[in-house]
Amino acid sequence: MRFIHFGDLRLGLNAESGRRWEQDRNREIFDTLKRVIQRAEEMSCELMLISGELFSHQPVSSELERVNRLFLSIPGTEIVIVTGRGDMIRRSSPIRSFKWAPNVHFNISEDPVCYRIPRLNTTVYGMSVFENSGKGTRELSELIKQDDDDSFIKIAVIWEPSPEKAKEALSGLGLSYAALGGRASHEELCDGHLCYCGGTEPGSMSEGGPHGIYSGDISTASGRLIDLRFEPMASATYMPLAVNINKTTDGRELKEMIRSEIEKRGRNNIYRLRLFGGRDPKTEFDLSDIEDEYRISEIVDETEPVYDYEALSEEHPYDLLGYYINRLRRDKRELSELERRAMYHGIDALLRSSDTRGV
Amino acid sequence: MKLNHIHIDAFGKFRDLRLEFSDGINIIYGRNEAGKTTLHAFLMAMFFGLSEKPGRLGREQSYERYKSWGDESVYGGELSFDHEGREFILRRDFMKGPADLSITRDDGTKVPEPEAFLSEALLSLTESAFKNTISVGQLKAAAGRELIRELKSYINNLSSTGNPELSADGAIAILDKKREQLLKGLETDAVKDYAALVGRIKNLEAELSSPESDNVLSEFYELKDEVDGELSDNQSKLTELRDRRERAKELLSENGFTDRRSIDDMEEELKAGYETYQRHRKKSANIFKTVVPVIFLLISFGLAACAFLISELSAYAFYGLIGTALASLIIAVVLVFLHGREKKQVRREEEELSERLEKQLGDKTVGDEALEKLHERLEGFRRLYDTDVSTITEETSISDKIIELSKKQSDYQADIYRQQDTNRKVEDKLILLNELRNRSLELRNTIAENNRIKEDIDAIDMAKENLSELSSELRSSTGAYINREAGEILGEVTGGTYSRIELTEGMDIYINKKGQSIPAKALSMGTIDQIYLSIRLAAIRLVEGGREDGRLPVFFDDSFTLYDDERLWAALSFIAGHFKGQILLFTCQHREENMLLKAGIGHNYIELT
Repeated sequence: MRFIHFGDLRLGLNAESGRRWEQDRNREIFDTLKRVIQRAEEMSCELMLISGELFSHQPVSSELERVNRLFLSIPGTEIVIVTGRGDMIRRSSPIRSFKWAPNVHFNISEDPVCYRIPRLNTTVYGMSVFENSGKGTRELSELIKQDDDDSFIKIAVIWEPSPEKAKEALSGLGLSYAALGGRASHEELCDGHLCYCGGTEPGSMSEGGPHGIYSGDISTASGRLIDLRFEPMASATYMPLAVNINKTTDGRELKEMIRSEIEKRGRNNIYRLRLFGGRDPKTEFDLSDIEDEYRISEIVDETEPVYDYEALSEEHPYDLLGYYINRLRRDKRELSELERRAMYHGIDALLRSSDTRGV
Repeated sequence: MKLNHIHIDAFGKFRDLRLEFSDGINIIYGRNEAGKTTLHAFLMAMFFGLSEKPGRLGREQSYERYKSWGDESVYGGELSFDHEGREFILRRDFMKGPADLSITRDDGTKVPEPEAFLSEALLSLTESAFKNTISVGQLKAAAGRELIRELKSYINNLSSTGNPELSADGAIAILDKKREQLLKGLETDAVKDYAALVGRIKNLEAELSSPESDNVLSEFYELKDEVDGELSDNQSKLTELRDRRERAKELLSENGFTDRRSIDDMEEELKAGYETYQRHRKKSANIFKTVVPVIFLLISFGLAACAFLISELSAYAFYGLIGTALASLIIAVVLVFLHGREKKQVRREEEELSERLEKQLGDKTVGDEALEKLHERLEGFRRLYDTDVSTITEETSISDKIIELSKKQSDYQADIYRQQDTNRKVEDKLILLNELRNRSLELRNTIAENNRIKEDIDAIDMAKENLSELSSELRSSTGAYINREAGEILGEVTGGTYSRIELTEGMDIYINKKGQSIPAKALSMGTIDQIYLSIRLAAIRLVEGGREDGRLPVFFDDSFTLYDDERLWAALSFIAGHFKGQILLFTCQHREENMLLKAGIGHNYIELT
């Protein structure tokens, strides 16, 4: 029995709020769901497990409708969905009165539910996050233990960010597979019998690395997991990009460096630029055109204007400049960030003050 | 440091020029255009090298400017100086580059790091610092107010930073400007807005979690479906009942019944009719009814025959016989007629009965059997009628149920509408919630940016604080030192006319003249020049940091042009008396030379031609 496991797609997250590419990104994330559906069709997937946070928030009916249309297109795939913290079900949730396609099994209750799929000789146990229910892995585990169903294949789906809890509750229950959600990156526990799918798309800069889905196969003869692979599916990656700058680096050169790096790694990715090293105090970098060209979410300028404080202090042993440097470097210890900035501002102002002399 | 001699290989207009310097005062005389400036520049170039480009304000010696005129293969020269008891030869070949430098010791060995060595010998002064202290020119500004301002700035910088090149106030003004710029980028309401947003989000979430927002639409649908089903069941039942009743009614009316009584009546009527018919039939079938007329007829015929056959009858008898015969005949005829009428009546009754029976039973036969059948049939009608009556009761109860269910149904429908309305509101809230969350994320970025700005502002504040603290410390030490020192010098230079220089908070200069403070702007240009000289001399002492041995040669570059003889003498005698070190006095006048000669003060005289 071929299956796909994914989750934490967080439709509607609007992670790139306020950016130029905000809308593109939102479309991309939805397109990723389309690709997953397409993949399911290609591989004649029989079971799809969505382990929470399909939505980033509680979906409204128009959003549900949109997703349901996609699910309708793969009637041969049974789809079991649970919620996570983001799309946690409340008693007021519109999802509670939504009519799903017949192949969709969405657990909207606060208790674990088992879905029997005789066609596949499979039982799927799903547990959703429900507001204030306080229920989770323990209840799911109880249900599986008490259930005396004789399905050959037993599968659990739950959103549980703690791998320890998940392992404790779900291992040793004779499950063929446990589809877990709630962690940013994919991870296989217990020889792949318990899997965190990770976010299908990364949601922020802190979620680097590959993102995608698990596809696998469970033997209908033995009920054992016989194949499991991680398939990258995300359309963009968050990437830190550190650029080393030296005193001779000018704006044009810096832009060239950034450009070639980004072209190499992919234009569609979202970058956080970190500039470090020492720059000429007279140089100010203007990267606005690079920002217009690529998806650069942040530029952290950690470059330091290279005033040679040592040399300056020797040059000015008996005046304010020298005293200032020595005061901030009192014990020759490492300067704090604040002191470092203060040092720069003070020296910069003093050196420029000579221009104002006599004015 | 003491200069011994220089040799110019080629520099500006000079070629192969050797000049010897002595201890004490060296007067370098030259008319205008004789090359004083070039010589001065050469000395500076020896100390600090040349700069590639013409510098800011033309301060540095430009490489191109002093390139040899004519022969371009030589550019540079050497300078011999004593430092810490040894003699050194400093050579610069500018053909090799503007910063070329080599220094040889008196034993012919090379100084390994000539730049560092030279810098130390020059007390780490930069070229501009050197020019601002050791090399005393005229004040650049020509006119009064500008002059005072320049002087003020010089004093202020010197006393607040220890370096006339650096301005503490200027630096702080720059920092203030930066700070202001940063403050502009600060979105001050971000934190407040964020807090408000978080509050709204919380409220919305609470609203969404409250029981009023519960979505039980599915349950309502279920309930309504149930009621709908029940209702339609009942309705179809009712319709069926009504149909059946209608059919029965039709049937009854088709058969001419309006109610139960009409059935009974009909049966009774038929029964009675049948009984009458039976009776009549029996009566008419009575044998006498046929026999008696026949007898009368026979009697009549017999009497008549007797009358005619017996001829001897009296007329009386004859006529008696004929009369009796006639009477018998009449009786017979009357009897036959009556019997025929009776029979006809029976036939009519039978026909009537048969017609009515045929209508009910489809059979013309009249008889007990038919009547039995009729009874059965009418019993059926009676039953039909009875059911009709019970159906009406049932119908009423079903109708009541339907009314009740309809009410229930519309109640559930109202619940559904209400729930749908609630759901719409919940959806709106969810959409809003999402928007607010996004806004809060954006605001969080703004707050992070604000924090970065604040950190930078903190750094600027820290810089400002340290700078102003340091500069006020300096002002109270260096500044006080300069004021005191310069005051003393001024006293000597002015022969005791002025005794103290005072700097006010507002950076105004006051000169104390016999206990009276006079503002600088009330002083003559010459006096201001004297104050300037005093301060410059004080600054030189400051720069030298009291290191007698390390003293640098002091340059006076046309410093006294504006002085009258009396003032010049006061200045010169002060310099000669107080400056133990080497002095290079560039001038375009003979006054200095003459005064020194007249006073018998030893000096070296160099004339540039």
